Amino acid sequence: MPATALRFVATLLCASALMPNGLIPTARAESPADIAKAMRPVTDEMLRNPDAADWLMWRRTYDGFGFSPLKQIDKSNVKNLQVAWAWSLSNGATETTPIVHDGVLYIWNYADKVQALNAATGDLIWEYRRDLPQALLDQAGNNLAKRNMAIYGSSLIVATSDAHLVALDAKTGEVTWDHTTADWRKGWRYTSGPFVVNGMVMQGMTGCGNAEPGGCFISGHDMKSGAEAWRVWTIAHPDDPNYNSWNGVPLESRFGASAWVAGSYDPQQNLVFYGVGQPYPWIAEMRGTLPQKSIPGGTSNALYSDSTLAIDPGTGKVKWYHQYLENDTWDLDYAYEQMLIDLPVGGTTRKTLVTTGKLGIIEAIDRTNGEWLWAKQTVPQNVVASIDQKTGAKTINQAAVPHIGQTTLNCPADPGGRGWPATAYNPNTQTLFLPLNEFCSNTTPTPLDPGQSYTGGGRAIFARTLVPGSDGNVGRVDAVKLSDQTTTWSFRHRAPATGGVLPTAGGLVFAGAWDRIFRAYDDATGKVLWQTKTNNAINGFPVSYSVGGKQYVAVAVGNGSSQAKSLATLTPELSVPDGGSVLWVFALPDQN
Amino acid sequence: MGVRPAGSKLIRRARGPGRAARCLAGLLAVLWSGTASRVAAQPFVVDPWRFGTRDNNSALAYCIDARDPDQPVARSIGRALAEALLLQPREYLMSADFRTADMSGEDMDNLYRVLIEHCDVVLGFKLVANAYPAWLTVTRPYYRSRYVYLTATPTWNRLSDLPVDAAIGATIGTAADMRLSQYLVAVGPDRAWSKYPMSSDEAALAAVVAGTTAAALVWAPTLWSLAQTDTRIASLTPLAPDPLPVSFADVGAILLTKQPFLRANLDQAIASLTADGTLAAILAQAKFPAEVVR
Repeated sequence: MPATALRFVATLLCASALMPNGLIPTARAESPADIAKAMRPVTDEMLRNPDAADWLMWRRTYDGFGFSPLKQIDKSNVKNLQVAWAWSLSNGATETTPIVHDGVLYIWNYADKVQALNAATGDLIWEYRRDLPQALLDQAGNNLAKRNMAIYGSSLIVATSDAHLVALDAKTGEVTWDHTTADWRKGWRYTSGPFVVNGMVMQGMTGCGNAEPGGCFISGHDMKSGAEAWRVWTIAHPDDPNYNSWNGVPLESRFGASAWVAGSYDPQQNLVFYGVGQPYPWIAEMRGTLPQKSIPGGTSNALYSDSTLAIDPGTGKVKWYHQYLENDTWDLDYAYEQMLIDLPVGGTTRKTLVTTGKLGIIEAIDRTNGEWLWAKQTVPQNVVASIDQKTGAKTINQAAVPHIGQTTLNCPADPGGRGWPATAYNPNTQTLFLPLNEFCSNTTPTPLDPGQSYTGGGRAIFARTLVPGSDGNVGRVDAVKLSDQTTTWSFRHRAPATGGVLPTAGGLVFAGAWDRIFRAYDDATGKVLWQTKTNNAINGFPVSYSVGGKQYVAVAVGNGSSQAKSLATLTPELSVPDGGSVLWVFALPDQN
Repeated sequence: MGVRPAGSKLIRRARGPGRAARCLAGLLAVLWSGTASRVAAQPFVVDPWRFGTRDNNSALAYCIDARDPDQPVARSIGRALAEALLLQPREYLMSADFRTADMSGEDMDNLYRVLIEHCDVVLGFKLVANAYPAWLTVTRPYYRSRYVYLTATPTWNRLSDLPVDAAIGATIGTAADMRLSQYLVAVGPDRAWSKYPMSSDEAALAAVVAGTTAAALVWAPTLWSLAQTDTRIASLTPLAPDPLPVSFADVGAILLTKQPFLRANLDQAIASLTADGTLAAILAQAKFPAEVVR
């Protein structure tokens, strides 16, 4: 053996002796495929009690908190946060939430491309591209974006833009099954993803206005095949005890009530909670629920729009519902994340469900029976004049009700004081963090192009404007202590808040906006401890995970959803590029 | 067709302004075009669609929506417009999957893409005030049609013959639907008919044929189209709208606001085709329920 070779072997042996556990750094790192193959199947127990390193579902945990228990990145060191890696995504509306499990990060790209990446390096493991119909691609827009996926066993479950549910092998990306739920040509579409409980895949349908009467639905599917096990209609059908809640309008003329986002789950009660959106068309006089007729036993509440539905995930049976806004005529959904929080109410601890609608009013109900408990207003609004403190019944400001032939001012308006970008809750401090926007709309119902099928909610001109007396700031992040409903802090900024928020156990809250700035706030004071300017609008859901003991914060950016673009009309001086959807991943620098 | 004399006016080099004046006018047109494009709000489309246009050469490319009931008439009008401008007609049939009903949302952005990729104008848009984004403009109307009430009960002649507990199936969000809604609000909920919002004219007509509703309120061109193949629809009885007035809608074509020269020429072409009777002849030949707009 030559002398140089001997020296090399000796060096290796010495190094081996010095390395912990005798390991020698390998010249060839573990391959991306190996990482995926080593991934453990996701069990029910994992979903109920996820590893702190993982982010296994849209809001991370069944209770919908959107909270990371990781604390390596904290108030003292967040100033050192830097880019760990970045990954370009398909251009388009980017509202996505990564899923992370055992060091593998799964990301949804605009127009139905799914990728598995090495969560530590961003290296591609596998990619799935759906072959979408050209006509659907031509339509483009928000319908090709999805907010989340689900993982269960060894499958990654995705909802596609052509209204299918598809299970992919999480290790290879191969299609395990492909189930057609509805015909996309008729306007059915998915804008969010599945939610899995005890092997039941649940998915909310959206759209439901394109000549398809009867409203939307939430369906339950067999995890092994995708076969539909049950369907809950989000609009009362003739066999429903609340059928008589649409002012006498028959089923054929009822539209809307989308299930815009995934649900939450209470294992103790074995109940899943889904929010339901607004009825279509938005203007009540157009949809026939105004003026209200005198129908014995009837109402014009338009059930189950703007409600929480408590559903048995095994059977699809609705146990109870609570409607927050009757006969919505503004597109002010109460459709978003349903947080399951045990809170002190009236001297006792109640099992509450906390949700915040587009009005920006935080509301708590008893999640065992739907009883209303309390509400707290955040952004300026003029739609609700008062709330009955016993029942939660809302008295509507009639001056804010749109009428055909008139222009009315309503605050907030259709993109919402909060929209689909999610709020999040830190259980350690009992604090809810909310991405909010302050604005109003001069709303004028207007006719549509005759001869065309009806496809959506609109049918009005929404001239969005700042709130009267505004200082010009539109976006803000609020911290509200839910135990006493006090606002701890509020950080206001010019740019609309367009991304979800992420609190962590490190005492931080991450949030981003239309101006491309991604910030880390001190969760106790709202002081900005770190910020960076990315390449595009922060319009996704930030998550945090760890690999090999290192904490990462990931957020997807892109040119903006329709909701973000609507808000951006308030700040025309703030532009974002057309292209450039990117997944940004941040971490602290390595000590060496 | 009697279009040639009128149409030729549009391109004939008229006496009057000299070369310098024409040059100035051209400059003004260019400047105006640039100003308009800066002022107009931009659609949310990606860069490849924002820049670049088709090379049209000597053609007028017009789009027709496959879902519109007036297809044969629109086709004839498109050809007549091209002929009037001494351009070759180039038709593009937009897929039935293309959505244009959400006038405030992304569907309008898609129209921008269609106008860049396929056609100079899209035929069949109604002149609805303030309903279009600033980057779109509508030509003067080439016909006016109306909304009609229909019933399967032949003994009723007018809307006021309907009993107060009757239901009218009205296609959602049309100008006539909105007028009916206003009337129902004014009269009071329990002293007037019920209104069932229908997702389409087809659904409204199907409901009245099935007896689910007492009357339907639909766009006359849709009735014209469907009645040609469905005897049940053809046998429905039209109702006079009183106590409500007749609701009309003017129909034209949309194009990009940044093309004022094309807009001006199209408007002149429509005026000429109206004046020389070409449009009226197209409507009459098809027995289409519309009239020209003078």
